[in-house]
Amino acid sequence: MRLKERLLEFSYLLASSKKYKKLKKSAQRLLNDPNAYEKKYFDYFMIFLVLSTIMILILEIKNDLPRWVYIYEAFAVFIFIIEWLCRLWVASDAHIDIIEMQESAEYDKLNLTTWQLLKPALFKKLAFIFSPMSIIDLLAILPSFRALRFLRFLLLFRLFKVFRYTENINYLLRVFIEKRFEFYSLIILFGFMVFFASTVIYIFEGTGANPNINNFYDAIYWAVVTITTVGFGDISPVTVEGRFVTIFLIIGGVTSISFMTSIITTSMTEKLELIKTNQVFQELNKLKSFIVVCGFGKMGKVLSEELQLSGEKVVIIDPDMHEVIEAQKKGFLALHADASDIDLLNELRLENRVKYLVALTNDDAINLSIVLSVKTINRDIVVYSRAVEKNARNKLLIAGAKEVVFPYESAAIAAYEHLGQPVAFSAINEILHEYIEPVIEEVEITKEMHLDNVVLKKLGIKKHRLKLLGVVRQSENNKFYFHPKKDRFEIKEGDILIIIGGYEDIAAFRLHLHEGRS
Amino acid sequence: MTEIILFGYSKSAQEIARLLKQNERSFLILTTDKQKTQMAISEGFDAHWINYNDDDELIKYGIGESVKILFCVSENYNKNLFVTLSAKNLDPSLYILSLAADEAQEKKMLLAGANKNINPYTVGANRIFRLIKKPVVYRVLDEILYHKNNIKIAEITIPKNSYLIGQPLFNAHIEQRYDLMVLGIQDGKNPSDFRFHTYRIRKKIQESDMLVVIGEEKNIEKFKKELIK
Repeated sequence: MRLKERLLEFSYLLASSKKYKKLKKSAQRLLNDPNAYEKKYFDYFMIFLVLSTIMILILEIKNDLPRWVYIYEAFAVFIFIIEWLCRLWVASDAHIDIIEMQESAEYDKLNLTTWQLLKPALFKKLAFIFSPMSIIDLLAILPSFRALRFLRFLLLFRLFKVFRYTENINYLLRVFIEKRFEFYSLIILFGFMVFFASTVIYIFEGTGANPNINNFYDAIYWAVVTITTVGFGDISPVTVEGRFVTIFLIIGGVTSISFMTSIITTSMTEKLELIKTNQVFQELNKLKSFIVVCGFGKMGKVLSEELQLSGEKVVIIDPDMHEVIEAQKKGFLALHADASDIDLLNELRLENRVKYLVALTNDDAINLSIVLSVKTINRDIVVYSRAVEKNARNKLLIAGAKEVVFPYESAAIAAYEHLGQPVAFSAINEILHEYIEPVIEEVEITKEMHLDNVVLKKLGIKKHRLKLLGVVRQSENNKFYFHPKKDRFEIKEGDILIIIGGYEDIAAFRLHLHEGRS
Repeated sequence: MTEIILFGYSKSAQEIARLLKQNERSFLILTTDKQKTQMAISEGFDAHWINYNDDDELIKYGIGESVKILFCVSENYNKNLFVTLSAKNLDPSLYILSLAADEAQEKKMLLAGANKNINPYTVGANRIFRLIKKPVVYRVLDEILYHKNNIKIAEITIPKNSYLIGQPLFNAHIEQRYDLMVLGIQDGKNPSDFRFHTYRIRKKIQESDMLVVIGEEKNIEKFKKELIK
């Protein structure tokens, strides 16, 4: 009875401990989360251990190895054991199973024995121990013990451990599981042909006509060697009947092998796409901040290229594979997916990483759906959208888009302005471009600059060969002061200077503001 | 007398027509589709159906005479090309604008004689880009460009007898004297030579040069008046 109480007490203690939870979570991340960046290094390390111990196994056959090699191997096995124990640990939450069992028992007013209490937790752990991957792990460890030395060849099972650390190989191996019906029928056909051919050859040549075929095993061996088109030639038919059978066996073999190859290659290419998407996700997980552009049409292309030129990381989502390939060719991270899919957006972990998302598909309904999905996940993400029909604008705004661009309207305004003042208009357009000098930039006066109440003249704008268009004062509801007087206007914290000049000059000016007064 | 003609009644044409009407400009809409003509008329625009193959019809509506600007913005690119070519033939000084969204079409339009093509998708994409990257700058420039506050952008051509002629731009003290900002200067003899007024500029002001200035309306007017003194 006392054991049970202690067990329960301990379980509750663990369940309430934040530290324990955190520790377990980080172990879980390291071992099982394919998106965790630490996992990559862990995997490399484990693969190295596996391969190096296998090397030792091979070298040991003909050479005497120095002592440190065996110490190293012991170390590797030690790591394997710890790894396996950790996996056992994170496979399930035993303490929670125990608590749940106890609570449901209390609810039904039952009094459980210690064994009954432990049963579900233990069963879960056992299920892990007997899972295929765990068995491979165990086979890689167990033969290292002296008592089990004769099982040394089982150490080769360590090689299978490598699969554990390489996600992509797993994807390819899954081909065999998914296409199992095709493989079953092929194997049955194969087996039938081998059995038929070996029986025939055994009947005609097994009785002494062929000195190489002494038993049925020889006949089967010959049939397999022939049907797979390997054809060693150590056993070859000598009678007319035997050769006749061989002809059919070879034709059947070539056909079924080409059939099998085509099954494997087609399904592997299917899987390759999955692997690619997986890689894009892995790349994505490394990014600290990026902008999502949904739809790689004409607008999407122009926008993405401009954003990339200005040094932003852009991730493109498009349901059309052609556009995705084009985007990838242009060096973007592109996903072949439906951007209005909430699960996908969740998987992208937009929070804290994405400030802007742009919906630019050529269908207002899809754009609307994207805006709504993003807003469901996180209201803080700023969403801009395109309207294909003008009357969709209001709906998109209601859905939560910060601004909706109707390209024809923008173009009409641009055309009209161009007519009135073509030189002025193209001048403004030019300075707005990131890559043609001069450029126009916002320079915010931050607290660290200690520039509160400093006269404009002292900032050194002229010295840096820049022009000041004006100042936007955030503290006065973004009031715009045009061309303020240099010797009278005082800068306030939070002001935004709008500056025109060369790229490098502006960069130097920024640096000057940051360093000048600290 | 009409000054502006819109050929076609596409989405872009509708936007342009609305804008022109807002600014009380006189314009005509010509379409090759009777339904579109009706649509435009029901919106309150002056619209006509034409046979675009017929140069006489183009002349009838004022091309080659009073019309100075032609928007070739119908949905059919080939018709746009055709009309651009015929109109340019009738009046080489006609200013033709198109709104092709496709790069290939854009090139063809320019080759056919259009003076400028504005790509709606590029403009739209640029707009979003600026909203993301430079929201404050964009707002301010938007206000200046579209007259949402008292600050205007203006193009001022230097008249023959201006006192500024012969002075280097950086030494002309326009900015301080009139409280204006000089954004840049376009050479009068070579319109493609536009220079921004950064401190590296070394240029003497010449007759018929064009200054692009930003400032309050009254200051711009004052500057214009005093130029001749």
